[in-house]
Amino acid sequence: MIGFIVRRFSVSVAVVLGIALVSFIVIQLPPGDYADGYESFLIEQGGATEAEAERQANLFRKRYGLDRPLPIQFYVWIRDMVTKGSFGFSFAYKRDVGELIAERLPRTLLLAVLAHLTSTAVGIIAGILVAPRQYSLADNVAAFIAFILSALPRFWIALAIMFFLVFTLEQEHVTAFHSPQYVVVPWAFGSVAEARESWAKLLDLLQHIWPVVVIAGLGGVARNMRVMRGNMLDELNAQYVTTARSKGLTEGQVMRRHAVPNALHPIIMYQGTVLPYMLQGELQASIVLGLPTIGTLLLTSLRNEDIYIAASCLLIYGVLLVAGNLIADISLAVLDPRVRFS
Amino acid sequence: MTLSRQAPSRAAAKENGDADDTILELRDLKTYFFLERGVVKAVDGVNVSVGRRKTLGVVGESGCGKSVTFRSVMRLIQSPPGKIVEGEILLHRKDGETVDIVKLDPGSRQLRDIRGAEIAMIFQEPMTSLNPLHPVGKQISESVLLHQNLTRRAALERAEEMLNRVHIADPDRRISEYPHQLSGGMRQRVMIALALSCNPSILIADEPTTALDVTVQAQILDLMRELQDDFDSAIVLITHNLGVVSQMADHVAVMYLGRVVEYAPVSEIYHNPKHPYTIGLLNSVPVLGRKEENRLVPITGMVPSPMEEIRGCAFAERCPEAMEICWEQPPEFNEHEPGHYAACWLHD
Repeated sequence: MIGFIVRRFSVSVAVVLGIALVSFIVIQLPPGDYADGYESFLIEQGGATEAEAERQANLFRKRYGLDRPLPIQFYVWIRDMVTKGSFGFSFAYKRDVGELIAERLPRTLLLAVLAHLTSTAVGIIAGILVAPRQYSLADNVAAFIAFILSALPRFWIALAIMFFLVFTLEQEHVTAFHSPQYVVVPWAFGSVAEARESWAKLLDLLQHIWPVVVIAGLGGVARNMRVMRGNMLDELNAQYVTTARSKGLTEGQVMRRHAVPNALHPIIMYQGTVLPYMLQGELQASIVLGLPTIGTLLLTSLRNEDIYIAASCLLIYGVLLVAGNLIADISLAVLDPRVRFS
Repeated sequence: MTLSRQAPSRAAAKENGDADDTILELRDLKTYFFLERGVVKAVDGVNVSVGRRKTLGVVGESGCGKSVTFRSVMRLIQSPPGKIVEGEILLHRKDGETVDIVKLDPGSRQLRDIRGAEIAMIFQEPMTSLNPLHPVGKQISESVLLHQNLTRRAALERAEEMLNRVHIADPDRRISEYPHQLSGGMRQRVMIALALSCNPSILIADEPTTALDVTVQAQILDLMRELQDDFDSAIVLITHNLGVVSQMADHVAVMYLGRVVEYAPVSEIYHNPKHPYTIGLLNSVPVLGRKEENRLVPITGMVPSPMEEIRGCAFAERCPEAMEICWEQPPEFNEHEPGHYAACWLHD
């Protein structure tokens, strides 16, 4: 088991390096760079002459190493990441990229994981419930809802929810994590008063993020439910389920001990690919709702050709994908002896 | 395998019809499947009984209802679409009490107490009949824990003992192995161990050797016979292999299209078959060294669809001796010689 984990882990490291290279190249693909944007900015807004602006742009390039050959830029980026833990410098924010991401990553992950848990839990439970009632009214209603949910575009649901929040519920602040009065409240539970404040802040947080969780999670509910229902139907027809019944187990025991664990197998297997799916859902929802997460950061940096932010964001998505797959592999090995021993 | 071989002598010693000796009785059992295309009468009036500590061989071609009949006994028919529409399944318990399994609620405690503890079942596919996610010892002890008041540890010990009883080497090691680590023959041994772990009075074996190699088949059959004596169980052996039946069974029920067409002690079936279908089955068994002129005689025609409404005898259109009445009226299942029943107009 340990050997299995070490093996899978070392492969993952290699894959991450590959992803870093590819994301760096992809970011360089569009013509021009940030300095070009800076140059036209100087001419249009600063009233500089063309020659002066070009000189400034070249200085800028020299300062941030943009005039050096690509392989060197890549090497420096990776070297600083490994030795200094620095992901580069953001031209637009004039800040260290690592700081920017560190600020947003926890929130992003919180949203993605919440959305993921919601979709997995609701989907699996719904799948387990409808499978033994195949083609019943409940089954058909659930299938209908699932299809609608997976067909609706996320940005559209986001707009609809935002409309509902603002015009029906008259909630005042939708494009932030907190209402203004809670932004400066610290997370503290030292005294009763502090705890009460923090509790209120948590509720306020939930009030602001539930649309993202729901939007990012909904499509996943449909998918998980359909997969789980299909798996359950397969497993319920399997011979070992009949064996389990013939032992004298109750129907509930047959489900819990025999059919469900086997049906979970494919769901766990694709957990690794679900994490980026959730991040993508979170990305769309956050952009429409204007929440400051990595998704919105990536979008603006791509527009500005702020290369180190964009490449770092892509790299982080890649790392999350690899980590997701690694976790899925390990959980599958824990669940299924056939994976463990081969 | 020759059919002229003497049936086991214990078959001949069996008296028939004594109620004390009967453990399971099916009376006019009907199990239908209600599909969109129509009603499939998979079991359409089966009458048969199983003697205590005896072996009943149930033979018939695919789709004749032999599996459905005994899955009905365990109430393992999926519903919907399947349903027992009529009849009785009487289980005569050791204490003299009689239960009609048809009348039990499918989820009831009583039924679950019968499953595994009084009637156990093994299946054709040893490769898929165990759960791939649990060690075999746990799967056996699960049944033991359910029916006996034992601790987890004692149940596992019981599982290990059972593995030993079915001649699996190193049971202490095998007990923590998973099904995929065992061969087909070993898995079937595990299934037998599982089925017998609670000492059931009836073991239903649904084609237990069909999926196994011939050499392994013989071992499994030997094992079943040995354990039958040790555990005092009755065995219902469902098969389409007449050779297996001749070696194992005390009585034979021949099924055709959802009905038992002939029921008799094993030697009677082989030496004095009454129903033309039984005769046809026996003639279509290949015998090593048979002369050219006595080649295999297949039964002509096809089994009619079980959805068809048949007025007379279901076998009439394939029967070489069909008479006018066979098309008009179904024959009754009558006793023609002591202990020898057949449903055929030839003998009425």
